[in-house]
Amino acid sequence: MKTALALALLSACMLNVGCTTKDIAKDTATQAARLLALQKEVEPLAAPLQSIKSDVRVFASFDPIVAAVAGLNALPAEKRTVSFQSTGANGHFYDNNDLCNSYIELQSPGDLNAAGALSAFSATAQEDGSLILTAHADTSGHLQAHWQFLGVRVKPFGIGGGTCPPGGGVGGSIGATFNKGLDVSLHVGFAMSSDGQTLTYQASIINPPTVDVTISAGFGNLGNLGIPVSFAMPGGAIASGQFPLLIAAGGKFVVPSEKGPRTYALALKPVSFVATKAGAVAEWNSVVDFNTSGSTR
Amino acid sequence: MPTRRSVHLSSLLICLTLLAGCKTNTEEELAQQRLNVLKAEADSLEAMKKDLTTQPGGVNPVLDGPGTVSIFLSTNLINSALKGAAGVTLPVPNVKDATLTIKSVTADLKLGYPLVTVDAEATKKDIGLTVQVVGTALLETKIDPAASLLTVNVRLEELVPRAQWGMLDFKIGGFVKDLIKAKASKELNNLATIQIPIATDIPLGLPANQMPVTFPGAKAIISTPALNILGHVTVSRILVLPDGLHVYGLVAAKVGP
Repeated sequence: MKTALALALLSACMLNVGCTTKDIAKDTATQAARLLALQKEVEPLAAPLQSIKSDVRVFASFDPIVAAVAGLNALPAEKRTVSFQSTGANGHFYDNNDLCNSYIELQSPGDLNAAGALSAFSATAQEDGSLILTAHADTSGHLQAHWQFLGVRVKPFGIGGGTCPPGGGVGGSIGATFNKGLDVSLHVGFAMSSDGQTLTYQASIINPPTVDVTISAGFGNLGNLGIPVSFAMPGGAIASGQFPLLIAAGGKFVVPSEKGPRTYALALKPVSFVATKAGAVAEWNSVVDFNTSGSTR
Repeated sequence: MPTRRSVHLSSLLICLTLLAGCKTNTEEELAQQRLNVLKAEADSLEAMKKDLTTQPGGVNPVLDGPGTVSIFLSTNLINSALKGAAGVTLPVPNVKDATLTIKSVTADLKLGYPLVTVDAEATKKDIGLTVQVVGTALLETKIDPAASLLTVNVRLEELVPRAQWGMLDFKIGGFVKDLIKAKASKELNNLATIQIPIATDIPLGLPANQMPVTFPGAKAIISTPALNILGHVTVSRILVLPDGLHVYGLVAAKVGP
């Protein structure tokens, strides 16, 4: 019995010395061949995805946002209404020297107003990655004006400044309504913020550059007149904002250690930002700050 | 004539002498480790092939296309971070006086397979033994929308010491076996974590605005309404390629409040 045990131990020892089983070697060869064959098939499929030179890259398509703009049409009218409200007079709407400086003016500070709901919202992405947002508004407005007729200037023989009747003349108040259709276009441009951590955007009105309305009414002794109201739309950014383009900031790196986790800062240094019709691409390189290690026990 | 008893004794002595000189090692475990990696790599590649060829767009799937988002983290970034693990010493769970010192953790990403190799040293102070250890780990990438974090965990898969010892060196053999088992412990399972804050919302908002205008006759204010579009990103897949981790997702957008 003891002899058998000793021989068994001896055999086990002999078999084990320097021995890697043939099965492992055979299986390894099989798997290596399988892997090689698969690599040949998959590498060409994956090659186009591997052209990135930076450490972190983010791409975001704006197509869904562009498509969602049409959803603004479903908002209640009061939530898509543009309005125009006078706040005070700025001289006269109308002056006529031949009528002894007869004039038409805003009767009270808030007496010119208009409003209309924006509709037909749509957006398109541009080659430079910006968005053009368009909408239409049919506005209707009202003017309450004061007219003052001061007489007709008399110029004997057409010479000199002429003379006007004495007194303040006659005046009155008249209300007039008007309608104006507006096609509005907004340009929304994107850029990387200076610290490279967020995407900023600015919206500006590109159309119409000016709004022109003629308000027609019978202004008492002044007769039927068309009062032109014309103003330039504000240029520059009318709105701006920012949001992180997926990657919000740097990050951290945590490893366990005997005394508790070590935490390192992972900073991202901006490399580039490109916006195209397809979307926005931002790239960063990483900097790991190993000096910020701290234990959190 | 030798007695039967003396024959037995002689045989035992011969065996013990042979056993004392008989060496065993972990070559088989290391070979098995290599085989496991090869098989897992091939399986992952098989899955990747299926994934890429069944996409819309066929064999040339459009991943950076309309309605999508993507986040790329390079192997370089991952390895820069993993350098922080060098020199870390951890106790080997359930093994008295044993520690594991990480020498290096390196991402060696394969097509479809997020392999990480770990080079370490295991020491058992009470028997004055230090052995080199070869570990394999995997990168596990996930996005937690609630915490707004992209997390890459280094998950230890296998730990195999490079060691050689005599059949009668039971302490060394036992330590090697303990080390091989140690990979399954909670303490060693997660070797490192990279966390990158992400924002899954793309809010594009034009706040309500008032613009003053002036013209002959009046001063006025033009008021425009607040218009908000809110995009939201959901991750749909993660591809492991030799250059890094590629996370792909979709953007859905709607009119915001």
